[in-house]
Amino acid sequence: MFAIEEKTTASHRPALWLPALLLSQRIEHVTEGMEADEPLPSEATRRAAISLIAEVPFRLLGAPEVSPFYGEVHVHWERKQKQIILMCFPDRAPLVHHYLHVPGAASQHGIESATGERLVYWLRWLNS
Amino acid sequence: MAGFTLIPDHEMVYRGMANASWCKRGVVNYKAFMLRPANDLYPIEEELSLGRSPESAVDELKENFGVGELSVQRVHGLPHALSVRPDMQNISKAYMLGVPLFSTDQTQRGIALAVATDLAGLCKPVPTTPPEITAATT
Repeated sequence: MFAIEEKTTASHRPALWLPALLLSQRIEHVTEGMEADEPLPSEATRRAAISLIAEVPFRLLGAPEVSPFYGEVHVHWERKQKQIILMCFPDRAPLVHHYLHVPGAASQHGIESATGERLVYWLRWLNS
Repeated sequence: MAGFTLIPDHEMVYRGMANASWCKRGVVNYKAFMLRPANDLYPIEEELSLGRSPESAVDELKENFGVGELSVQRVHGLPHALSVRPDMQNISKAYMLGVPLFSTDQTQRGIALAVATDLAGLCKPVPTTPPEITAATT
């Protein structure tokens, strides 16, 4: 049913492994259950999220929450005191936000352009 | 319309979960504290709506997915200059001022996410009193 072998396609993009495929399907169907007055994430926005997820090694993917946010797609990972949010927008480049809760002190956070490489970097940080 | 006095620190306030994505597996997340953009029906959201009881937090929602409780003292203790104020038009309601407005600007979005995540970390889901059920007659 699903091809679960690691290979390189003609475009040199790795084929999706099953966890990435399932996550991609959740992104594809992210519009389900949205409020009536909320704009739908466009196909291009969803494709941008899927394209970035495809660059993340399987072992780092985990089980993020996927949700729409007023035309955006958010993919959200949490682990202990850390959080990563990948945001794909309808009309601008994706961003990744990283957050660290520091008990008794101000939280530490940052935001930057989301590339596959940076997303992998921050997911490694999340799991470290 | 918000008043000009703060709700005392010893009180609790409540955030109605208007969207299923705001609270998953009993954990409230940042989306419960992000202000919404303007659309055809509504202007940009400038304040976060709260209730002063679990019931009042959801009584104007068409549908809700639970309620989260926040300590006013802990909200005021965050380093974001937030203030929790009573609604002078409706004593059962409150508002939080100082939450960053919706923006896709990178810096503003980053601040909004950090504030919202800090608030989510303080927010504990609580049960609401179920509506009175009239016994069915057989």
